[in-house]
Amino acid sequence: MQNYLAGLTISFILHLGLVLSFINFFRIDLLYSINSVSPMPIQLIYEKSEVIVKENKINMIEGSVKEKVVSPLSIIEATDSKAELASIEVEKTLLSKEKIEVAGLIEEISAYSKVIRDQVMNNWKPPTLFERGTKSELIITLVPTGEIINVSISKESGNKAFDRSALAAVYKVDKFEGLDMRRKLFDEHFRIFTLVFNPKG
Amino acid sequence: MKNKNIALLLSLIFFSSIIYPQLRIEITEGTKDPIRVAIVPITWELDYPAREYLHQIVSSDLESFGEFKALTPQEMLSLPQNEEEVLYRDWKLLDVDYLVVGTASQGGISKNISVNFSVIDVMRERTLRRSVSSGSANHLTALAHVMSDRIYEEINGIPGIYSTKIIYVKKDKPAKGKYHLKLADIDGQNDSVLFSSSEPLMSPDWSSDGRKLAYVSFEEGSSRIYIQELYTGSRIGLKMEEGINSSPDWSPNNKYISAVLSKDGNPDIYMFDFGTNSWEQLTDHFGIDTEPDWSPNGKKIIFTSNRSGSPQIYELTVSNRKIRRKTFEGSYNARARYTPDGRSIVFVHRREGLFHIATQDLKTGRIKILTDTNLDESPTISPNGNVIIYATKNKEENILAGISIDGKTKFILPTDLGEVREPSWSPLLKLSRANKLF
Repeated sequence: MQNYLAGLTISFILHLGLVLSFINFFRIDLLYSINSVSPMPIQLIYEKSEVIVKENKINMIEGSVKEKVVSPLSIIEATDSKAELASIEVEKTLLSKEKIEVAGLIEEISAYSKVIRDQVMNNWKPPTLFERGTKSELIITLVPTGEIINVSISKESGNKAFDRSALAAVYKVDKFEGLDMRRKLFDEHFRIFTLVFNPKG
Repeated sequence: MKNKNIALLLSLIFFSSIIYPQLRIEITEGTKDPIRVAIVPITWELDYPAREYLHQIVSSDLESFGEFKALTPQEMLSLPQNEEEVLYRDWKLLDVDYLVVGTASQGGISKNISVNFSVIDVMRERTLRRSVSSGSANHLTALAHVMSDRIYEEINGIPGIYSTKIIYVKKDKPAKGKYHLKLADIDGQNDSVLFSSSEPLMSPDWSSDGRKLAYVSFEEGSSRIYIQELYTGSRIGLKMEEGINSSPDWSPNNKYISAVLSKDGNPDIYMFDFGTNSWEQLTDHFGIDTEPDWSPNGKKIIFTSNRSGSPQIYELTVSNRKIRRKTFEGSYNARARYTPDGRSIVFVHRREGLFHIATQDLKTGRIKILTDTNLDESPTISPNGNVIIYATKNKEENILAGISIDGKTKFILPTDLGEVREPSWSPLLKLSRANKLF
């Protein structure tokens, strides 16, 4: 019986050794090979995504543009069409008179444009990389306090992140400071204007 | 009534087109401030592992190249667990541009951890993207890197690179130390050995599908180019020619490898065709032609040649073998690599005796030096074109360092002791199979 147990133990050890060497437990290959290869570890990550805002299709009209944009018209609205046309004529003659002051006007417009531009630039964080010549255009609607009541993309750049960064800049500004100007100047030039995001260099 | 409306419309057109010529204001530059993000600690419906983990990795991922500044949880006014709990006023107050909230849960047969997260535009008060990423609890770092990739891509419009990898050559410290091809995350962490040899290993290059690696090994006594299947570890040697066999570079379609052979006496650029299993000669000049790199569209190859007397970069059109010199500034320009858009090259440029990493716009020829250290070599570019990793020296030790393509953010990759050289950036790895689990 004792012999049997001893034989069993020895046989077990021998077989274990055989099995281990079959599965290359002793790494015998390393003795005659100087090279060793290992496969790349795999870390599987599964994903499912839902992109909610389709930026390319978006038109961010949040206030009703038509009501707010042309507020002078709301007066005309009650009158008939002849009166309207007459008032347009009046406006036209007024406009030709203004031509005399045009130089001063341009100066004024560009000064206020700079006020706007500086505030947008300070709040714009463009994406890290975009193609040269990337350009998007936004139409901005203001109220006389300088508050932005509407913004919409009129020309997409083709780069979603770029468009969004431009929109974000406008949202961040929220209200332009330092736009205290004559009401007429505001109505004619700053109530609705276009911002062109077009980085150079 | 209808008439009136038409008249109104007419006058509207008049007013807008005649009386108010619309003002256009050009915005030509933005601020250089980083985008502010807040990664709210992921709500953890589990006991294990620690909940602090994920948002920390995501935050430091996003901050690593200087494009983002991530708020710490201590700076946050509230810790919303989902979109409904977000109080936009809090985040606007903190000047946060984008917010990420999410929940982690464990389930399914695989016991995978799933993170549901939302990327929120604070200014516009809307959710931009909802994502679910799931993976094994043992690979939480990999899971976090994938989350970072998605957040980065959503905000910045180009792919994130946090789950890409680099492979580099490492030589053990003793003089007769072994050579290893090592794989690591792009922050230098999570490294593993892919191949070891007692003879030199050189020039690893990933195939564009991310499945294979080409490199030079001296295991047979002289140089030979090997292809190793990364996921299985199986490897084959390419047809060896007499003399130098070096600088393998995969074509974008993975059907060819460009390399340097010197079987006709001096080093020239050749192309190995896997279809015919043979080499085809591309350049033939008595100067040394070396270090080829295939353009992203596969039509051109840039290489370094000393045919004009000093090392300069040339561009070869593969179809008609026409060669044009690309660099003219300085007496040493070498080891060029195309950026992923194919518009620029990144290369080693010597100025006043120092070796720097520089970029050159291929259209305008304008050079921009990025690094200010000496002995910078072997630049490799991230697959989104945004970051460069290169080999350099720090106190006589060979290390890997990185720099953003605008030159503003620099970092050093912590790698273990020994000489580290020749990093090669992986393509975007599509390990994930979307929707498979759902």
